[in-house]
Amino acid sequence: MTIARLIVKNLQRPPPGATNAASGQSLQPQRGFMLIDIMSAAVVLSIFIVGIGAFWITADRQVNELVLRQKAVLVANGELERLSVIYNHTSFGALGPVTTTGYEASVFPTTRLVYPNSLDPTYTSGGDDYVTTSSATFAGSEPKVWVRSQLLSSLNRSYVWISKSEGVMARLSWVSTDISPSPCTTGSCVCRSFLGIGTGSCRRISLFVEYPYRLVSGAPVAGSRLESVTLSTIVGRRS
Amino acid sequence: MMRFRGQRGFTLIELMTASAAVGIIMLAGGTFMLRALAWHDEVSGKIEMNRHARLTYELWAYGGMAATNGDDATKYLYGFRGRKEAPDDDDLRSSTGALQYVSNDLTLTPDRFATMTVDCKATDDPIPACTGSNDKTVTGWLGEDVELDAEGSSLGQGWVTVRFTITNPYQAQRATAPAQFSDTYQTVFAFNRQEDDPS
Repeated sequence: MTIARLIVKNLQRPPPGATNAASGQSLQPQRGFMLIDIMSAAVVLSIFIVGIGAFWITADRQVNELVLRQKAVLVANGELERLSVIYNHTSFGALGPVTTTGYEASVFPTTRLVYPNSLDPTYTSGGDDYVTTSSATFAGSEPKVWVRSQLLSSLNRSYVWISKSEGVMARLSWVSTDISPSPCTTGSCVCRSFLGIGTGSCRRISLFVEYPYRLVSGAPVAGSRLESVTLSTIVGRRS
Repeated sequence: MMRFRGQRGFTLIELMTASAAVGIIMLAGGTFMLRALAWHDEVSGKIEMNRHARLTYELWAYGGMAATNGDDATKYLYGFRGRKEAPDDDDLRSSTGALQYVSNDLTLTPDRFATMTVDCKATDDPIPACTGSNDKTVTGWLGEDVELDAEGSSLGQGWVTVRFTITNPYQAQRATAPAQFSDTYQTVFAFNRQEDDPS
């Protein structure tokens, strides 16, 4: 029987308890909703409400993650600009970065560069050093880079705040690769050596900002799931 | 003759049980609906603040273009990256919290909303711009003065660290937790201009 016929048949059927006036048949006993009906409806509605509530909670969490990511993007842009200035105007590109290893397996290289323990006096002066090895100094100053110095410098790690008010920081590292664009290997547009003497190569810098980390008792603690922002630029010694 | 048989009404206990069950469902549903409205406000407020943070960053980074010519006979407002020095703090935020950017003797004031009066309860309550229990008139998203800290002069090319607070005053007035409608962002801009800025 088709669905349409079933519907028509149900429409034609008298409702339960209706009286057949012609035959004088008595009405059937009528029953309202039983408690179990109402309880079942309550359970179904509760599941619906909980489901919608879970949706809002998920939406709120994802928007919070979006806001945090926006902050991480702005910080990553800023750190890349500051790093570029150091590369472009000092010998930092030749001697400054510390090579570190032992990063957890991911899509990023396991050998990366981080800041040395200090930029003064080799690369900056006059209060321009924004690197500190003190977690207390880092905790009290938002734009600082904190280098967590270890006995083996290859295990050093550097961090920046991405939301100090929320206590969220990010691990900062980068890799650099020599590039030699062919139209620019001779003449006035030559890439200078990062030592500032003679010719050399320009470099491609890829910066990794991984978050969230939290500062707990002077030590960084990684969140359960790390997000990352990657930015690249090209640097060359100018002066 | 028509006879009715076997029909019984609802007992009092059945009616009370059903009423209680329906009442609980309606109460839960009503509470949930009110809470959902608050969640909607919070989520939409955060999205708006995030959007405005991006807009603010882009204006400061890349600059913009005005309708008239500035001091260098162009319509361009130079972003931080196209400048030699940081702009004046006062040139970034109007007295009513609107984003404004002054460069090349030109001023841009993008993305303002209709003037509204915030009933301040105390300092920073419900918005950072409140200084006490007086009314505060606002037309923009920047909740506090922008913090600029210029460095790098020892290298010949400087940079400026920038910290700014975005607030959604409309949501902050209605919220039970106004802090949810303010957020602080920070970044760094490097200066790339060699000659003096047109000002």
